[in-house]
Amino acid sequence: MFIHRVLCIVCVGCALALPAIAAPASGLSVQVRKADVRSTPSFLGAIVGSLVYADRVTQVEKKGDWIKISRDGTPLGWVHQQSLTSKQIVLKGGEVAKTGASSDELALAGKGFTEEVEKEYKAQNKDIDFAPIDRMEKITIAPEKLAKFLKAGDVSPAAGDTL
Amino acid sequence: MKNNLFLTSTLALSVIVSLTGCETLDQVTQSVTSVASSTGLINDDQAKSINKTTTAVAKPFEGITPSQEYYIGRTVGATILHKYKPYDKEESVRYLNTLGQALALASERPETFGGYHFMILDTSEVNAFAAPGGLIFVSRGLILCCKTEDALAAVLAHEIGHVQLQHGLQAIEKGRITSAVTTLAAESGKNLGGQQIAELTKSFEGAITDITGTLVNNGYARKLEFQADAAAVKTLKNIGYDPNALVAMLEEMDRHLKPGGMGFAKTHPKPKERIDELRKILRSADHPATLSKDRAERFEKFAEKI
Repeated sequence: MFIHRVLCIVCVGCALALPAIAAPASGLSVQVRKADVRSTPSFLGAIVGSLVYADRVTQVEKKGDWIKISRDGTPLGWVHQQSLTSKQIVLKGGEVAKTGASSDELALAGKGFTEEVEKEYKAQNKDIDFAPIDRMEKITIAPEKLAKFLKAGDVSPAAGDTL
Repeated sequence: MKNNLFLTSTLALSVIVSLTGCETLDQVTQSVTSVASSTGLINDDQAKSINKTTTAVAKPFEGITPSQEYYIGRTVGATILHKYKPYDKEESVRYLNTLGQALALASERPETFGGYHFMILDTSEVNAFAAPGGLIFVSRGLILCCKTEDALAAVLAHEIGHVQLQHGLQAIEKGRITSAVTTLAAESGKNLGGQQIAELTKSFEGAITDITGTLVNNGYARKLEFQADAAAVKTLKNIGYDPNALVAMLEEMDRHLKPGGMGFAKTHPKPKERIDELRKILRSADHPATLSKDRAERFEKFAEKI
């Protein structure tokens, strides 16, 4: 019985200590189709580059919701944390074995609900039309046009900066 | 003996969980199972099983990646358009997308897998829907409740709030997101077989029914609507629109909505309740409306064609 109590205490002690020991891994993957890289940790920062889905980057610094990243040792800029994941994203036919990551650390691009599942759904639900959704997704306003729109309407962010 | 030890550690886990609350449940459980596993109290499989179960309790939709959310959102959107016709006037659609995409940038989730896109629904019914992943639909009836660009910005920021907080995914019933969705093919990366696709499509269909049922018929819980309003206030402040415009829009909506009516009246808390909640977080000094002639004129031009 005594040993049970000791183990119990050890369990609790370790559980409380572990989150501090297990620092977040600095390797990150882009989990959106396109992620803008900005010069400053803000949506107002100038876009200095972009990354695509499954790109691997390294975290250098974190400020609020923004993560400063580098790739192959070269600093790139700031990306919003919601666009990144600590999981490795392995594209279909990717080199799973070489990553050495466990399945819990992987987010395979081809798993779960995919284009293949959508195709099957469409085949079973022919009355649901995806054409307007495809058209809707094509409407993307360029960042400079967004900036012009806000400026023309005298919409100025709290920071007093411009997009 | 081993069983007793396992029971003891489980008891310890229960105590920790009760002390730490739900938000850290997953984190604490993983730490405890990690210790229990490494000390041989439980084996790796048992540890994984416990972790998976508690993760599911903490956030049932957590295993859904942004790319899966994107495919769910596309089908939810297509299902909404089965009921409502899109209003395709290019100039109007462009204006709405310019305003909406600018707002999304200032939100706490500026990028989703497929990005934010906005559509006008050709109906006088007062309504709006946010499909997971960033496809947002606003009815002509709701746009006509907005008297200023700031008010329309408030409507869009509220819908962006639902996307940001993944409220759509939260409508998926427990048990719908099975291991087929979250782990299938994770070990092999192989192409899926016909039976696996069929199984996934069944889960997918169920998830779509859960979400569209909530969006169109039942509505979100009050708490989630208030959360989306709070997120909207933050986004509006960030970008420089007047967050008080959300109150103005709700007051206008209150005049339009008929008790027991369709659309917003059916799926949302009464505007008065939302206004009362908003008053707790708003200050009149927050970004007072800018009297911009250009802003007023372009909104007027847009509204005239709706």
